[in-house]
Amino acid sequence: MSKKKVITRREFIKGTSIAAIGSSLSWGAPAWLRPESQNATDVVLVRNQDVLDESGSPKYDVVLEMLDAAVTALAKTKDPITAWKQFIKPHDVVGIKTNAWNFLPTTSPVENAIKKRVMDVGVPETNIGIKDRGVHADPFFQKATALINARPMRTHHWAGVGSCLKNMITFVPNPWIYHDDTCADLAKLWELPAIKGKVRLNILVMFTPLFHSVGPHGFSPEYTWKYYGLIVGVDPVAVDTTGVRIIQAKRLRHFGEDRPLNPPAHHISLADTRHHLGIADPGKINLIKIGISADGLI
Amino acid sequence: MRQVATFFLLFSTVVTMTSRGNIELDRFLPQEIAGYRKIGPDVQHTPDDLYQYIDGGAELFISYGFRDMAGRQYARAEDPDDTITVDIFDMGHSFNAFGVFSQGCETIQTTIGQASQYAGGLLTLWKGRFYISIMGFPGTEQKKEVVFTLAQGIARSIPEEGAYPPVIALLPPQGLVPASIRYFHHHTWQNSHFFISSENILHIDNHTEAVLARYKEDDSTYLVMAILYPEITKARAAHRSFLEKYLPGAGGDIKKRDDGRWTGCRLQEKLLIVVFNAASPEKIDHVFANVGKVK
Repeated sequence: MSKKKVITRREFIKGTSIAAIGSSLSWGAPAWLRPESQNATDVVLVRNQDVLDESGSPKYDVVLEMLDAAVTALAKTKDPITAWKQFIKPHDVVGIKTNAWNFLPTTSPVENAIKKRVMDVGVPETNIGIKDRGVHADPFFQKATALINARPMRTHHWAGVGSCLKNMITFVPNPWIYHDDTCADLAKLWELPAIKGKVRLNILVMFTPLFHSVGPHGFSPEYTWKYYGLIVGVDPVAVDTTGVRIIQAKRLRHFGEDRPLNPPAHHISLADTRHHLGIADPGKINLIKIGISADGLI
Repeated sequence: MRQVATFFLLFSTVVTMTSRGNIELDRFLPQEIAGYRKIGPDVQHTPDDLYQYIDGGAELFISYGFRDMAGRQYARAEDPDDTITVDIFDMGHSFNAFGVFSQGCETIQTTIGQASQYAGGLLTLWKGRFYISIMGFPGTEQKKEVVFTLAQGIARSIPEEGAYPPVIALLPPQGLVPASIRYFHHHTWQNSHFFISSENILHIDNHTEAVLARYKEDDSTYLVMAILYPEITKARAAHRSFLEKYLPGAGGDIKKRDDGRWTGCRLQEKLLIVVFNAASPEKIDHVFANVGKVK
């Protein structure tokens, strides 16, 4: 019988500590964190098998711990609040862009963990909004100076996957105009004034990702699995690329053969090669893994 | 359960359409079944607003000629979170109903409708020009029984079976994996089993009938695609396009790929046959020789 390795909270946090380095802050997040400013980007994959309760719902305290681990690793500092201050300023008006898909939503523990740390930075609660549908007409989100993009990973009938890049689709009232060539140009969304330059963090929730779509609603619990993960980064393209690699690996393992996503999630690679929004080449993504490694699939 | 069966026996009417073309769910779904009671108003959607109901799936249905749909949700009084959702889609033609069913097919059961599939609380089936989905998560045995009873009632209410797309009958039967058959007329679905191209290199559109299937013989697997074009000129143009873009430099119509597998295509009047990932050129020739004749 194999022994499960239990990681204590202290070990978990300790494992994330990376020596702080100095940086100048120019726009809320340091310039070196901007995906377009460099030829490589950091993405953090953090996994903790304690994150789900018996019913499969995420636990707030563990989510917060995982989020802290990811953000401190990204910011290369030990203290979570110091790390968050590299992304959010006290004067920011912060929109937390979630996903309300009823089968696999972002969930309130994730939303509240993000909100907690934004408030810890010094942003008053009245300057924090949490919303998915209707943000295109929401005055708060239109005036937001910073966005945090958080949603679960799932396969999608027309875009291949629904992940961070696609999560901005509710910033437009007519999403179908982005459907051409199976959503090839979703990255254009990120040029909208309400979005461009404002997304400080992308958080792809991988607690129970959906790796295959069936039926009209595209969901069956048969095709989700407990992965216990969060993928966090500044670059949405790199975050999504990492998520898709895990989904593909899961499909290979589950089906016993290479089953490509159909349609292919080409909007992610095109976000790099055509729209230059971020990095889709895994060779240029510095993946920082924290927490459990078993069945990591990447 | 006996009450449920009685309901459907008494209610063995056909699925009818209103003058607007919308499906009247009351004609073939009960208000209550085995403690599950209808909640909220029924939903109805057309191609213009389907995306509001099935986030992410609307384009799949629209690519198969979707006309309209109606949906009903049930919940148990003592546990409102315990729900069952029934959706009935009018796909306009049996070919399309079969096609959209085929896209999500992992196993085929033939006990309900013309074919059905149940896994983990989701039952899908097709009959005539209708595609039906019934979701009852989690898929407990008790809930599964209710889902199956609903499905059987709906299937009985659709009086006539529909024809299968004729192009399917042209596939060679030897080694065919039936559950892998994918029928379509939008090029997006050419990649269902294997990535071929993001582009429409085979000129697939609403006027073509395409089928893709997986084959397994001994330890060897390969894919066969058959595309029936409305005119020989269109078929020839697609053949040329595929040779130029997928098999450049082949010198013929069969080529060894970098991974050591073989791909080939052949035109037979209006029918284009493509074999992907075969172990040998002889296997491709064998497939070509066993494709059905277009009548």
